[in-house]
Amino acid sequence: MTFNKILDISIKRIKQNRKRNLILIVPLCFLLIILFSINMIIYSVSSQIENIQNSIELRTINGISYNQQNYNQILENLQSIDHIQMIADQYEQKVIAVETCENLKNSFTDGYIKIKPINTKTCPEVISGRKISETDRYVIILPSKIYANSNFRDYTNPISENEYINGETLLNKKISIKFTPDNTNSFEKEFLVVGIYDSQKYNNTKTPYVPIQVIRELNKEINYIPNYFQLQITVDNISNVEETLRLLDEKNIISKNNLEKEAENTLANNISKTEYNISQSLNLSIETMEIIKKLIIFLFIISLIILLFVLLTTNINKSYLQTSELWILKVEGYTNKDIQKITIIENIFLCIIGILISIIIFILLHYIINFAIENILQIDTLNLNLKLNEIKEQIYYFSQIPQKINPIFIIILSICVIIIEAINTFIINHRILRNKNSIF
Amino acid sequence: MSKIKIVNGYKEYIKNKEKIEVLKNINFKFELGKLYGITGASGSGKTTLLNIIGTIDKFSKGTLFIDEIDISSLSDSQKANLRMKNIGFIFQSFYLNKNLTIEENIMQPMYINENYDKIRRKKRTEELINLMGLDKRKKHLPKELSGGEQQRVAIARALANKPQIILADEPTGNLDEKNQKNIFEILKQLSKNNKCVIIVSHSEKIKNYADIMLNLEEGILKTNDV
Ligand SMILES: Nc1ncnc2c1ncn2[C@@H]1O[C@H](COP(=O)(O)OP(=O)(O)OP(=O)(O)O)[C@@H](O)[C@H]1O
Ligand SMILES: [Mg+2]
Repeated sequence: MTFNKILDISIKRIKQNRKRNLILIVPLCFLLIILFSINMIIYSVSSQIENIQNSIELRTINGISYNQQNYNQILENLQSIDHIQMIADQYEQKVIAVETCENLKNSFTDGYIKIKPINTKTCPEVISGRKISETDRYVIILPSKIYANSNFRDYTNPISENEYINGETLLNKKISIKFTPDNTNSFEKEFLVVGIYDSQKYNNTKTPYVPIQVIRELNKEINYIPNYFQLQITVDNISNVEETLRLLDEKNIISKNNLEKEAENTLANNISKTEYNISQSLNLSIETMEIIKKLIIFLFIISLIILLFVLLTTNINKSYLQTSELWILKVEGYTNKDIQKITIIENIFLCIIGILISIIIFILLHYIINFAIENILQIDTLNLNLKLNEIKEQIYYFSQIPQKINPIFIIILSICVIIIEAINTFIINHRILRNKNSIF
Repeated sequence: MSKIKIVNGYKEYIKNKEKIEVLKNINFKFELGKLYGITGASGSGKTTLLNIIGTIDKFSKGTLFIDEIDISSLSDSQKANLRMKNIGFIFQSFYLNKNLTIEENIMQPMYINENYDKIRRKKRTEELINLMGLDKRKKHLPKELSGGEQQRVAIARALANKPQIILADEPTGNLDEKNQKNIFEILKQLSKNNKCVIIVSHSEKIKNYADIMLNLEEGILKTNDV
């Protein structure tokens, strides 16, 4: 029989057996949607863990005190720790306490930004343009999503999409930044945008980065005399923060307890302690996320097994329902091969329909849930009770996790479903067609 | 030349290491233009014999010739092709595809026949529907038809590819007297149109229609004079 004819008959059979098709499609869709969802959670959580680990701020330790006498000794000791990628004097941050940039203003924002120093080692990976080099001076690396506003925002008033500026639009352009180190001083400098990094990949960081040398130069320009002496170090990986703290203690640079106190005493940089604490708590949250991930993977494997089981049993049911039909085909002169081809193609079609329906429902569900979350976040809960606010805060953090699904996974899963279904159909029908007592 | 020739046909089943001899030394020739009635006790092997003649089963020992061709020498797909063109089956419980309309049920065997294109299929189906008096029923589903009507659909389906051999296993088993008579008359008419019709039946009525009555007893096929 020609392939066209077989295709024709298979499609006819699908059209004619609506009820029987559902036996296969409904459980398949149900399980696929569950599997897709679980996959999305695993994939999103893993990429979020990665994003957090990428974040430069979250692996920065502040509050390492020194004095004129031991400065060189401490510097030497710090340089001997492999994990440390950048050492900065905290006073160097003075000049970059407040900046505004005209180029980053829009109808929603006032152009306020907070620049941070980087060196060639701590420079984030760029998605367009280039990273900084040793010789770079007045260059700047921008995030893909810039939020240039002095208005502090959190879950009570989340940032909406149109408040962001797309960093890519500024690539290779010069932007002018106005520095206001104190009330009397203020000056402007031009920076060339050389690279854009993916904000999402760096834990939704919205920080513009400039080479540390420039910041040193600017501090010299304003003749800033610090009244405290503290260093700030950037560790290569968030998981090495603990280890670095241990080494700092071991080398008598600073003990963990003192570090917290020192960080608290730091006046100029009011975020230093928070940063240290965040990196601590994030370490914890990464651990919990890892546990959640393992749990979900476990669930995932169980669902896969259930899927396999359901695929096999529904197909057995479906096939035995059509025993007499297959035998009649055989009696009418269809060869076993023809019958196998017809039924296998029929079932593959059904699987493809099931997979497509699942993907559509999954996407719809995804949109509905995101829409609901967005609307919940819009609700003004400030005047409502504390409990609701807490829930809203949780939802906000949850919504900050970028949702990702692995398309390769969907493709592989779909192919597996189709192959299993085809093999299973073949085996069952082979049995049915061999055993002539099955109906007569 | 006889249409069907059975030479030394044996059939045995082995179940739980015990041998059941169902058919023993069957020797018989079936001719075109005749209606054969086969009777026999339940379990005597009537269905088995019919399935073997219909090439969906085979003898353990012995040979079946159809048009002088040794069936055991044919491949599966050759056998399927032979079934399609030469053999029409009719069963006690009709075995219509309940999801297909009457028309589609009748058309089904013609899909694999390269002699039928779409137009001819349609024409042949019309012809058979008229022949069986089902004109008003062609868009109906089997469950909407009476037993007698369903069996007529099954006969129409068996005739679709114009086979010369009609095998009917208890075709009237589920039908009342009036419908029994109607079905036998249709089958009788077919045999008169130069087909070889073989009917397995418990019904006494078969004797009124059969040209040759056969009895299967303890695995041996004997002719009974009508
Ligand atoms: N696949 C098989 N394995 C073992 N024994 C079988 C098999 N098929 C049929 N038999 C046996 O062969 C014998 C003949 O069966 P068959 O169905 O041909 O009888 P029958 O004459 O058609 O009976 P009935 O009038 O009840 O339809 C029975 O005893 C049956 O149990
Ligand atoms: Mg029987």
